Amino acid sequence: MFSGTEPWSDGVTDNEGSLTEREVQRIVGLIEALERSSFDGLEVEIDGLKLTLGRGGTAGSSAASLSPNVRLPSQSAAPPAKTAAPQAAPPTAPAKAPAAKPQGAAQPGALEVRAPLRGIFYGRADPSSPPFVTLGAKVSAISTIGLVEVMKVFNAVPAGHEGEVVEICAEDGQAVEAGQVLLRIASGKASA
Amino acid sequence: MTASLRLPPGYRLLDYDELDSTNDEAKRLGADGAPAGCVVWAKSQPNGRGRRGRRWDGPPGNLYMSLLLRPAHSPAAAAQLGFVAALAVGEACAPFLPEATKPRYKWPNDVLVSGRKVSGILLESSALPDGMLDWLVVGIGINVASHPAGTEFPATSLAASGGTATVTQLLESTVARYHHWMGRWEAAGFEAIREAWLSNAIGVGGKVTVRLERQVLEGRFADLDRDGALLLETDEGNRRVLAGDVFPVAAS
Repeated sequence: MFSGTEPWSDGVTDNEGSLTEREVQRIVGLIEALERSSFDGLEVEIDGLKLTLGRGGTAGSSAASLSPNVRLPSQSAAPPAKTAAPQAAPPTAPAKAPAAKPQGAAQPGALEVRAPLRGIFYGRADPSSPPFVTLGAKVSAISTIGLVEVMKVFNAVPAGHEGEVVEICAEDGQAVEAGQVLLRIASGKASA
Repeated sequence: MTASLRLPPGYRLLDYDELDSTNDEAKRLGADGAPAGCVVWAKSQPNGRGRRGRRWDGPPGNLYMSLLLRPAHSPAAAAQLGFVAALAVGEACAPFLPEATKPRYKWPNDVLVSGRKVSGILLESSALPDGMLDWLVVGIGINVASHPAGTEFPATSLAASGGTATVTQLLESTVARYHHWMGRWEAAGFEAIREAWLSNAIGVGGKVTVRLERQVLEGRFADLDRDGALLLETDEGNRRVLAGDVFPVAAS
């Protein structure tokens, strides 16, 4: 697991056999489509890349598996500065988030708030402050749900959706990947 | 008089006798749609704070300022602007210090004089839904007349280091140097910043302790990478450090 640091290898970037940004985005899109759907699994083959996706807790231990001749870009090979956009989750995040928590199964239609960049997640403004959000809290799109720090720059993470916090997936002080799900929001639950 | 302050074109001074936090004020301006280039300056900051809510004493006589910027970049790229801030502070202080006490940099953005911290820098940002920055606040404190005692990392002030400068001189030159290095960063990328930072950095090549939120690492500070991360060689392997406090280990 990423712990605020990651391995490096003299800046050597080895991309052979790894996925392109576009392929990664397609995979992330498929994962999200699966999460929104009522299906337990999905098997596709695109341009020779065979991909089997399943919901946590159903298909073995891993939420996603790739055919053996294709490997995901290693952490040291991924240029971190390029992993900026929240939508462009690196494949390591969803692929490595296995059945620890049932992914979205409990809350069909829950909206995800993802880390905009790799860093340390803080759920509180400082150790003596109350958390930005708690379970059941109502948030608006611009509500700050946490901070992600990298090199003493503290980036506020907006909820991005209006609704109610139904799951908090990251702990205060935890290292997070770009694109990692930080919490889930149920929209339109305000009246429930 | 603040009206006589000289700032580079595009910067606008907002001065206060007292604020709890110039960063909070600049963040509020950022969220309210104020233009980039606002310079929030408070003559004292009774409830100042640093990283993770640590106290940063703010008596009168020191500099407390925050720049509001709106760079068209991602939050990840904004991390490099902390190094820009360190260069700005170091170069703003240098002309007012004795020849032998050149400011040095400690990862990622501490500025040291004679091995002691003379400045505190805290950056805060918020992104738009498209992943680009909405605003970035660069908070800078410089110990001009006085410094706190009993801090975790020893502190100093310009006055205690034999320097002579007024707060307004430092405000002017810090903004000017920030503007200069921000322009270099926009034009030439982080490499220009990295080189300038490395040429006056402490700890590079030597043993350091890195305190992370939940772990302490020890190893050799091998290099600063092209994104600003600290490359650490440890007995358990090489690590790329993105957040933490660095303490150089004195050679024994």
